[in-house]
Amino acid sequence: MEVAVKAKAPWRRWLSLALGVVGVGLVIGTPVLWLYRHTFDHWAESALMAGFALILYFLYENRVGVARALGGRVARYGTNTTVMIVMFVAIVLFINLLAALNVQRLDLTANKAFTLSPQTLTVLSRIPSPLQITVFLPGLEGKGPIEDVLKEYARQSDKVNYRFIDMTQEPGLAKQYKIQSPTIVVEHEGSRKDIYTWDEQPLTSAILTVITKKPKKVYLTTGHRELDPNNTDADGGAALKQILENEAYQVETLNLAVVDKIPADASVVVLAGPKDPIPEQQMWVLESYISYGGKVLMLTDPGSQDENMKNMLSRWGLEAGKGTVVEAATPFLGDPLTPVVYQYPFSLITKDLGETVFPNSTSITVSKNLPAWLQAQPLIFTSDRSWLKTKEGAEKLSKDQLNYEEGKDVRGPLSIAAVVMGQLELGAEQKTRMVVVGNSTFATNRYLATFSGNRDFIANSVNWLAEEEELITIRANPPEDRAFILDPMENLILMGSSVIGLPLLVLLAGGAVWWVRR
Amino acid sequence: MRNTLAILQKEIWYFAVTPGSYVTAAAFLVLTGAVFAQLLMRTQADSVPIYPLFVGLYGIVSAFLGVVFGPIISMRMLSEEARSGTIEQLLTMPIRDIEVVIGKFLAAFVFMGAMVTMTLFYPLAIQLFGNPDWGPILGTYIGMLLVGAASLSIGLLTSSFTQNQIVAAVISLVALLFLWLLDALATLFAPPLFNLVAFMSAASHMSEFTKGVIDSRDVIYYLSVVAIALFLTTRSLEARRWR
Repeated sequence: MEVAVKAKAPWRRWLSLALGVVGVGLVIGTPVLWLYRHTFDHWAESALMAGFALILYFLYENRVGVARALGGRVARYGTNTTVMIVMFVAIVLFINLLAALNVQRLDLTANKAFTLSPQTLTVLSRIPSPLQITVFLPGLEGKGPIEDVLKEYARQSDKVNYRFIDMTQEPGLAKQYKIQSPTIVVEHEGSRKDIYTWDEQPLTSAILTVITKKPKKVYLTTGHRELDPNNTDADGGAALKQILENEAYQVETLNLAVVDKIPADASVVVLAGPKDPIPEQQMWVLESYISYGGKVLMLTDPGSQDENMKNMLSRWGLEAGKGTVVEAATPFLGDPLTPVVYQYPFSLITKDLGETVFPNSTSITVSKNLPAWLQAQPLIFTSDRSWLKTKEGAEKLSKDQLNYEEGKDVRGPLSIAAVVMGQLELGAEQKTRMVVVGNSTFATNRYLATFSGNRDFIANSVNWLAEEEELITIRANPPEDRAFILDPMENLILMGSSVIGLPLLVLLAGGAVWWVRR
Repeated sequence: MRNTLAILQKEIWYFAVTPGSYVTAAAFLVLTGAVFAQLLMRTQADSVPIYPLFVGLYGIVSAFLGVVFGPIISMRMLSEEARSGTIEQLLTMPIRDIEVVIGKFLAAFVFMGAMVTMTLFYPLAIQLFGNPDWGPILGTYIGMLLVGAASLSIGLLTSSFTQNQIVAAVISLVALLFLWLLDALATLFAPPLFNLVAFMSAASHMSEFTKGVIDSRDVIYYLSVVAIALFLTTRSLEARRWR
């Protein structure tokens, strides 16, 4: 045998080695190429076969050496070790595979920026058929944060598909979509909605809008100095309109003076803090709507209720207080006329609701003797250290003039919002639903922009009124803006201490150790 | 277990009294401090948004840890024993190889942990001037410790191959660089190969931690790298007996 090996010409050994290497290359390369190109044709098949053939040739040419290598002590231990390593790696890979199939995520950010809100999960579960999200960007460098959000959506719903389009690379597609600036286009069965911010709440609203094929109508009454849905000032009502549109409602205004009845397509009518009295004729239009299963959200400020309004409320078991709520336990920024509410009696509307703020409110009390056909319950309470200041114009009084006066003021806790449901007229097809809040300021742009609880409260109330109970939920918070400001001196100190100070301390410690041990 | 603890103690003592460890830590802090200062300078204008600042900082710090400092800390741990001949002593003692490997790995991990802890100086300093969200910071530190552990374990493995610590460090540096750059390599491929290569990249598993999200896949990935590298190190030590 030995002789036979020695007799073999060197070129044959080199040739077999070279062919063996080519064979291994083919056997490894072909599947890689297959994964890369997604096609496994005759060429690939032949290459794979050729690869195995070349390896066999190499083994045959070097059969003596191979046999010797397999038989020795080193080979035995080596094989043993190789098998152990292969098995260990396989087990680890298997664990990774299991982990990939069963993903657990923990979101440590303060406002749960990477956890989808309950509202988004509800909306995603309602998508009936595939939905396409297309993100148009000029260049794709900045797609990371948007993709983070979209990835979560697609992870939660297999109906959601998304893609990124580079507007500079594919101007044709952008033109076809009539898009000039960065945009997210949400499409579902012919409906389309464009949004221009990357946050969760607008995206979820857009999805809800495109999957809601027949949007319900919400009417905001006008003509009595209600919150103006077109006013974007701090005390305007544009945010109120926006919130309702986010919930996929079609919002329109309704002048009660020019109609003889509430339009039949009204899902909900909102009286957003009328400051002027509602004339009798208009009150009659409203009352007949309410009596026949109407759905009304009424925001009413202290002292703005005339006799007609009071009568209407009392027919539904409610009474607006004659004064302004003063809160001593949880005033907002120290203002006792602005109660902050953290806890709520159990109701669908206020379930899981965050903190809400109700500046300049009056109380809305539920009557103790409700008729059998009527259900009513308070929604929001102030603390037991609050009272109703029964003095007109209390909102203009100074802090020490707001003190509790025994015998005149009403002790808390006070209900400042209530919900009513019942069937007044026998002929009514549906039950009447009303939410009455003793304040309208909480729904102005200023407060809706600041307090997510206020936004959720409005949206949940309208969803309950419109019998969209499924959509009553907690919405995503907009991302927080955390920043800090340094003056040049502070900046210098911070930079110096991090580049020089900290490392120097460590070096000094090392020097001290060396000195002691010397 | 007792043997592991004894080795751990011995190695930590070695780190504590060797001037080289202080120089290593100081070098690390100079580099991370310079990155921090550079980022501060760039965003100095008027108001500095905290989140991008830290994402930038920790992206670079974890790359330092993952590629450079892991090998530097662990390079001598087994190669030095081989060079000075004490490895024969170690291998003939009634200690299992795995105990030696884990003891040394844990000691290196403790040293690296101390180094990483010192970088908490930056977010704590920011806390004086602003209101950082500690969620992403906590996530990043968990991520950095995992990245560091993976890097140390690979450094320990290459340290078991050779008597020369520089050679050990260079081999692991190349291996780690490859592991980190797999991310870029992945873009050459189409799915599903893309997903596979991207999954194997050490860099791709860090991004979620920086955002403040602990994803079980990322944690298991780094722990897997540590487990495989330590297992191979044990086998490599064992091979000295029969090679």
